[in-house]
Amino acid sequence: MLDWTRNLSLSRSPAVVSLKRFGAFGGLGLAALVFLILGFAAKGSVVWPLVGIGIAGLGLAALMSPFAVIAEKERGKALVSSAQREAARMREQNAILQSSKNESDQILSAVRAHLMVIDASYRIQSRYSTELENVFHQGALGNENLLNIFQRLLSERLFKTSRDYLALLFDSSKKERTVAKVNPLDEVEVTVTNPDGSAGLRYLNFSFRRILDAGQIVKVLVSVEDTTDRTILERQLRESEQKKVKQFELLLGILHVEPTALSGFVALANEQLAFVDEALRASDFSSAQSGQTALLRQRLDIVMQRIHNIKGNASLLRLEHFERQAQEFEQRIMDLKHRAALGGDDFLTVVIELAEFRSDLDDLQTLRAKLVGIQKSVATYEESGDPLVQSVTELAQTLSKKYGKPVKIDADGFDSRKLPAEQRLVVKDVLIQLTRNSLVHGIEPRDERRASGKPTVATIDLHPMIGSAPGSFAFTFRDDGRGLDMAKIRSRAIASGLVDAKRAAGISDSDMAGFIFAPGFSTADTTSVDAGRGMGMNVVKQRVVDDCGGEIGIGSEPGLYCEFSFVVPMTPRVASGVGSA
Amino acid sequence: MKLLIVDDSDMIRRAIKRTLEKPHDQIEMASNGVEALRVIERFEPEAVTMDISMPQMDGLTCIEGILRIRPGTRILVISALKDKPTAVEAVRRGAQGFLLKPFTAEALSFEISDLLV
Repeated sequence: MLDWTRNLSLSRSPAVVSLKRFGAFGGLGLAALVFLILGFAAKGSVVWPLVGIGIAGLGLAALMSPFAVIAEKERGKALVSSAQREAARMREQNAILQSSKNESDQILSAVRAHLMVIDASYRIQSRYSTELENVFHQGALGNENLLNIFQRLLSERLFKTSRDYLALLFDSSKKERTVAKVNPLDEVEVTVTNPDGSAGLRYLNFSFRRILDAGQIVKVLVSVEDTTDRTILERQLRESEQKKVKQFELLLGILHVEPTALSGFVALANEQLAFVDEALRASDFSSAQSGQTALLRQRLDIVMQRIHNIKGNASLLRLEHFERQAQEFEQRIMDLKHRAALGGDDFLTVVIELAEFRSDLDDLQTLRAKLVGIQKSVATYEESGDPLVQSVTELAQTLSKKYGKPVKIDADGFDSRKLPAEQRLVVKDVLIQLTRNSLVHGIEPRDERRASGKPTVATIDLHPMIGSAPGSFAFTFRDDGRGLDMAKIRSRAIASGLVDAKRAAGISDSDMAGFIFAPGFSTADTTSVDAGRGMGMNVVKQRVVDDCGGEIGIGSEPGLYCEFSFVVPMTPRVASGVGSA
Repeated sequence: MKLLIVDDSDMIRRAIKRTLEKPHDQIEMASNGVEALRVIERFEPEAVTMDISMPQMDGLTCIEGILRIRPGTRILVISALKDKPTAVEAVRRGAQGFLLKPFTAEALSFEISDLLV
């Protein structure tokens, strides 16, 4: 900061002597003070208004004294006999004022904030920092109405707010401190025309101080700082910090995952994202045909299913970052689905989300490669049993802790290792979904189980089905929870319009159970990251039946168990993809 | 002091009460604007803390209502809204103080005492 005391040494004016006492104050406060006083002086006022200024709580009386002396001499002018002496004295005063003005000019050009004073009709007073002309890209600001400048620089909404705000500044019933707190212009983005004619974005910081005269707000001191460089730097810094933190979290989040499993996840996610891409790229988007909304909703369902699948796999590997991201993605799609009308533009957010997802996947791939290098040098991975069973057990344990429902997995004889990669992925997707469903819906809380005489630790049985058709992989998944709530399924099916009440009466429980595979069907009352959106069972059906041409069976006994059986052919049909959805 | 706390979050209402409550104080609470206006009719608080985004009747409308019924009431807006136009509007409609969520106990106590000066 400049040493203001030294810079103010040129004049012998008593005002300057007084100012020296304030050398310890911040340069801005002092500059504002000098500016104000000289501003008034330049207009040739004879009687000095008692100027009350909020800046730094200054002892203003000390500053007023020299002007009181001037005023007294002015009043005594008629008594002075020598006209020459008076003229000489006036010249001397003018010289003092002139040098003080130079002084204030120097200060104004040196401080970073640029100052002006506005009156109650928001007119800029004649003395202001000339740099303001550059900031506002407008010359001759004296007597210009600040509102006109605001109108040119600000958005319409902010302009209206600023107009209200200027009124508050001059409203003595409003406390200055409160008014200062709601300053809408403390970091405003303005669009200005550069000298070369192009449009430029600048960030300005306005602050306001009331100037009082006999308790009345007569004027307001406005200081304007161009904070563009600082704001942009801060923003860049914030972004790069965020990126660093994210990468670090990503790295920490994958350390526990075996590299081939990570690779599998990246491959699966990319495959699913390709479906999403295709759904979003479809030509239907550009057309404005009637019924477009229904069509776009269908697209959203496809996107939703695929993202849900990624979420399930992320959760299986406990890749929390991706699980969270997929969850947010799903939420965005749900929001879109609930809109009355959909247009191609509405999908922009989805496309942006997709790009972010993909960039994170790329990061994951890069990190994975590094990780492989590290892990190779540290230890060798030992495989024991079917890693899929291991993963499902881990998922069940995580959810078990989360929901306070103890559970054990019995997977005797279940081995998916000999399955072709594609079927293995299908089986994995199915197991993820069913395990979540069991933990969230099927298995009762510990107390409830105890009350109904069941073992407090629930069991999930995962067994191969004996005697299944050759060339297929068949297994059952069974939990000893409360079973399907048929009454609820029935009422939800009716409520969501899948079947009307009359027809529902004639549908048996076992047929009714099939509705749990309908898209969007859920009996959960709330939505969580693990279940409740009603997409899960739909994904199961899509993977087993639609993608592989397999079969699903359901069995349930209220209060005792729920069992699903699956037959997955080893040789799949042609993948269904988007076209048939 | 008689104080009315208006906020749709039970947690925040209780936090404000805990922070400000002194012996002999009378504190009442309301979870939306409509309820606040009903309380104002009989309770006559000196100060009100007012949330902005609430169901049924928002804080901005409620400020006007309160000042119509009891013009001298001091109102401190406590809001998570970073939206400047709303803040300006709150002061324009007669709120005397403004505090951004989340806030510290010290900041809240200070704002309330400043409100009553």
